Amino acid sequence: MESIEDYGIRRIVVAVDTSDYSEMVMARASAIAFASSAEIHLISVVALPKLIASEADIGMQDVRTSEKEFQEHHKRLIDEYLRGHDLHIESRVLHGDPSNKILSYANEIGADLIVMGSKAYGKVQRFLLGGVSEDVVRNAKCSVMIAK
Amino acid sequence: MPVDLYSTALIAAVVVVTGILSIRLRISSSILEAGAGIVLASFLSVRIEAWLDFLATFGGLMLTFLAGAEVDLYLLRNSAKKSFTIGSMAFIVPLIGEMVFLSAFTDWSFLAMLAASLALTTTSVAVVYSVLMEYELLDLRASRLIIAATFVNDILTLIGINLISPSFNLYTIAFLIIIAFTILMLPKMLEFLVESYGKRAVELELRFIFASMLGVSFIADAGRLHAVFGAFVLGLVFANSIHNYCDILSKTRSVTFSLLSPAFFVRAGMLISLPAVVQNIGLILGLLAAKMLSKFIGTYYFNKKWIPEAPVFSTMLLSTGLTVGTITAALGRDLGFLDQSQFSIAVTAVILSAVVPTLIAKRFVPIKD
Repeated sequence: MESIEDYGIRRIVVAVDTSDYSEMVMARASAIAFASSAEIHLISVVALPKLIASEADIGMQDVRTSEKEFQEHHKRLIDEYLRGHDLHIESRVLHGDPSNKILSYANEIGADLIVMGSKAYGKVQRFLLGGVSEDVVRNAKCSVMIAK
Repeated sequence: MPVDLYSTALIAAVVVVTGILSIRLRISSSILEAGAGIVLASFLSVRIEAWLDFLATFGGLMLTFLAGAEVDLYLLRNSAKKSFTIGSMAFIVPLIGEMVFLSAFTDWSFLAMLAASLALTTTSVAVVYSVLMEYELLDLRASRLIIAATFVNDILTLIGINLISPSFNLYTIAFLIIIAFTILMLPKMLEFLVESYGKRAVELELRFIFASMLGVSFIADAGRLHAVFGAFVLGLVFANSIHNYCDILSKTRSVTFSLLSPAFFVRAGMLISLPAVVQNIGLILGLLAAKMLSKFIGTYYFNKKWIPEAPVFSTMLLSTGLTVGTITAALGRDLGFLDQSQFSIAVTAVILSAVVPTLIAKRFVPIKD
């Protein structure tokens, strides 16, 4: 029977927001990282419009606040789940369209696995809010794990 | 006159829908609101009521105030010579270029040409920021220079608005002194208010900001300067005080972008005549091309000299425009210099200038070391 070590996972992209789901995502990702001694790239994306932004869509103060929240959240997750383990850890806050950014970052570092959460939306909510995890699953060049 | 609750409810619902669509489609909510305004007026026969006029005017002032508050004076001081040179060229050359273009291809009055040209001299701070952030370029030296030049461009446009109907006199000077004195006192008063009465349910800080903004706008208007100029200067002066209280700025933005800004853009859209846009599509594209070409002529040389890693990218970002351009065009219309057709042409060209140069800029993104 194959174990996680056999999959040769060297780099894991862990995409989180600041919701409670991020705890579950981090727990799953850290378990895989411990088993395979993989690098962890913890990322969050400050969402921006894909095409054009106006002042209503982007306020520098709000962006800075979001960045700070993500950085503090990353620090807490790393302290809670990865402290004391000899793993290579990167923490990045990116800006733009969340699914595009997660995918391009994973491609850029040659990730073997993306771990992220998915809120249990109904069809209407999914249409209204968009499905980042669906986009990532559909377009990723590596394996994707959705923590639920 | 009683409020028409049908159109009020319809506009409110449309604002919610455009907000959702802007998140879903990841397109600027302001552009969608203007589009919704066109649909409401052209296809659903919704009229602009007095309340919408008021909210839109208030919205235009608040957007200008926030544009002033967004200016980073430290950044400006750090790159004063270069940003002033690029920002000035990004203002002056397009102003001349658009005037020449409109003189050659239209029979518009001088003031109509001036108002439309001013609307097309702007650079959108929001578009510049978002593109730089999207490509994680915000911390580059070049990016800081582009942003500073954008601030200079906006400041010059807001000063230039006063050229539309110059009627300076001794009262203007008196008013300028009053404005300067008032504006210098206001941040201290805000500080006092926050410390004495702040962070309560009555939101005294917000009330004070709204009252100050409307008061200074009134004084500016009475002094034969335009209200938006007063709002911009107040925002500029308030910037540092407000940044010390992030929650006040955040609340100001919440009120502006949930209620006032949608009203401004929906009204702007409702004022656009669809037939005028269709009939003048060549002129609109010509105005857009004249803006991009004159921005290129005005800034490319300096961008190549001071931002050698991204001259085309910088030039294209400086060609974008949206909010301040729309505010300027709306002012030109409200003052009676632009008729509905001319306003429709100018605003559509402004909106296109938010899209086309951005798409081109994204093809010339500099590689980050």
